[in-house]
Amino acid sequence: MKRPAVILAIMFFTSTAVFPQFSFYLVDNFEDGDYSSGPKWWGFGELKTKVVSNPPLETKDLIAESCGDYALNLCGESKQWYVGGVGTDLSVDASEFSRFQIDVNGDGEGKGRLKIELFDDDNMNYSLEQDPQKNYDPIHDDKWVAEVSIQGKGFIRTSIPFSAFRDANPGVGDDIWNPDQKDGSGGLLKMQLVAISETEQGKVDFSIDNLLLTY
Amino acid sequence: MRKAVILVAVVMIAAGGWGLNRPIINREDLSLKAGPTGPGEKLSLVWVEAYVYPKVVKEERVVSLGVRTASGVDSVQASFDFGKDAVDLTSFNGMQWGGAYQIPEGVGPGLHVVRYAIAGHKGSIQRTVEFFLDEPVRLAGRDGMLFGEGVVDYQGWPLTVVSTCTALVDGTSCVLNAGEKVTGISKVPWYKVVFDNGEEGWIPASKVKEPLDEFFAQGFEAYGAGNYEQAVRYYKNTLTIDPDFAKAYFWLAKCYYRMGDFDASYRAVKEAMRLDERDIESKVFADTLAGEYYRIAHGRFRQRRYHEAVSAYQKVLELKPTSVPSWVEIGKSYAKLGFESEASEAWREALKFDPNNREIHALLKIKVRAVPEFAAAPKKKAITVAVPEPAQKLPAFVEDESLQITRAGKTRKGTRIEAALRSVMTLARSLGTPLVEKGWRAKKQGESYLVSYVCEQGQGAIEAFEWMVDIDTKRVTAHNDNARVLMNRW
Repeated sequence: MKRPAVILAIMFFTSTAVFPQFSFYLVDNFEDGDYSSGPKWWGFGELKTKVVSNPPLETKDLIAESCGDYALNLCGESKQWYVGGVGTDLSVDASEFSRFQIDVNGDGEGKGRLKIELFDDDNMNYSLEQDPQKNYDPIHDDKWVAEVSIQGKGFIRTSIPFSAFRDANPGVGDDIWNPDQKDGSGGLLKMQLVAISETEQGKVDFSIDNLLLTY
Repeated sequence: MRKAVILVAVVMIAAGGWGLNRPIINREDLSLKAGPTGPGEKLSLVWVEAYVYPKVVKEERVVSLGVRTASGVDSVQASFDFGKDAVDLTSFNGMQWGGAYQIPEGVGPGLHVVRYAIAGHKGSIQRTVEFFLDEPVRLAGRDGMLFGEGVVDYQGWPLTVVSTCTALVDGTSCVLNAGEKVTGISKVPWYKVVFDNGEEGWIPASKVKEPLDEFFAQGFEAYGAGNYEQAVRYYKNTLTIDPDFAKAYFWLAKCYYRMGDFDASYRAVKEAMRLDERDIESKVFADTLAGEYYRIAHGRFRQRRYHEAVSAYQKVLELKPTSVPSWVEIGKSYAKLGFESEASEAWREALKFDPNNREIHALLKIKVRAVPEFAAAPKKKAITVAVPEPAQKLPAFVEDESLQITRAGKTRKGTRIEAALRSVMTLARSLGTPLVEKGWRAKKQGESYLVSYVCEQGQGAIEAFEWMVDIDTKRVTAHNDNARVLMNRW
């Protein structure tokens, strides 16, 4: 018996314009040299953003090599630990993935921490409602947070399982990690990266690359 | 290739109208190899995903090929184990590469591989992905056509008349006696039917279109929409028409599974596997179901409800006879219930699949030997274990490459594995151990290949040195104690 579903699936597959995400979802690798589109990143606070060329490789470094030509540099100074951040819209079904991965290069003098914030849709409307009076915290959806250290020079790969993200707004949303696009949910709506300096009035200067969701 | 080109053209038209979010791709049907590149590979990519769809190729004999990378590469080319044809995959952004391939006539059923050569400006890497070409379903008709494909050379089959009967020949009848030989050219069963006016009659089945495909498609649609009870009804309808329709049993099993009725799912998938022993989908699903039963069994075992545990473990082992933890725990359950011989039998079964498992040896009160003892102590009690035969024959070049990579691999001290093995064998013989070397074997295990060097010690005891080999990254890792000792000490 012919299997029409298989043939349709192959047709679907063969179109290079539409690729399903099987084992990873690439958020951005900045290889297009542009952070204002594909995907668009926005900044907030005192963090300055620019796409920079990755430094030439002096020794064999697999992670640095996989970072390609460009990365997104983030730098700025804090007054009270907080420097600022960047964010991007995702709206993906991340239920098949189990971790977030990022390459971070602490290429400047300033060190600190990078807070990764993920927002999942709980009121099933594909949008994140935020309260400008309360630090733009979500009103109906969950916010999940994990932190990585910004180390010294050289790209360091960090992989954080979703289970290591903590609910940053208990009582808001359903407090369940459910980044799937079922029953009208927009899934994983948004990601923000927030820079925190090492000292109360300090500086951060680092680059990020190869942000992806995978299993 | 022409068909593939046509297919691509159709795709470009179809893609526009197709609901992109529609879940038509089932991951279980996909053969996938994914992960970051490893040290020693010529390209460093944070992630590479290579796949073939479907992983079990049936009558359509068309596969979809694809590679996704986390950063751009220059070209991707696919080649196959069965021919010199290479397919250039196309991409619009250097990161997502796709193509289709029509498997030529003459390529035999069985395990095949596609090898992707992924080239970037610093070099190229390869990824090897397997797929299984199923035996085509040959439906012999009057015109001798192979269903959906070209004409086959078909000569009919011999039939023997078993009792005296009448045959119709051009409107007249002739008598055939028992024992007479005739040549069958077409088998035409009949349908008893009811007409609109209530009269009953008979129609040759070949003259009517059976709604088998429709029911199957409706079942698939209902399943996709989550209406599992409705899907069950459709699949049962297909089985009324064709009671040997293995795929319908497979989907019934999946529906019941989704409905939480594991026992019904178990019965259906067992039937699917009985009807089509080589159906990989059923086996993969059976594996999933075995996992569910294992959880139940293990829970009962922990609650000391050993009778119930045994019953559930039996189902696991029916579905997945290689489940070592199930053999071990069913043995323990038997032991708790006082069935010592059944317990020993279960543990001996476990030993067949995991000869170096220390827990099983302890349960059976057998001492475990490591390599130095293997070389120096031939008089210990021999453990006779069966070396499981490879489930599927590997394509020749995959087998050759995995053996070659292992033999040329280096131990921690830099000795070639093959030379280290020779040295071990020589040492063992010099110490008086009778040895018969059985040689190298390779088989598929998970995403890698298990390469073993097998030899027989006195009294039929089999010893193996085992390595896991990734033929793309050329990584060789010791897989059992013998190999680990060899890699560390020679």
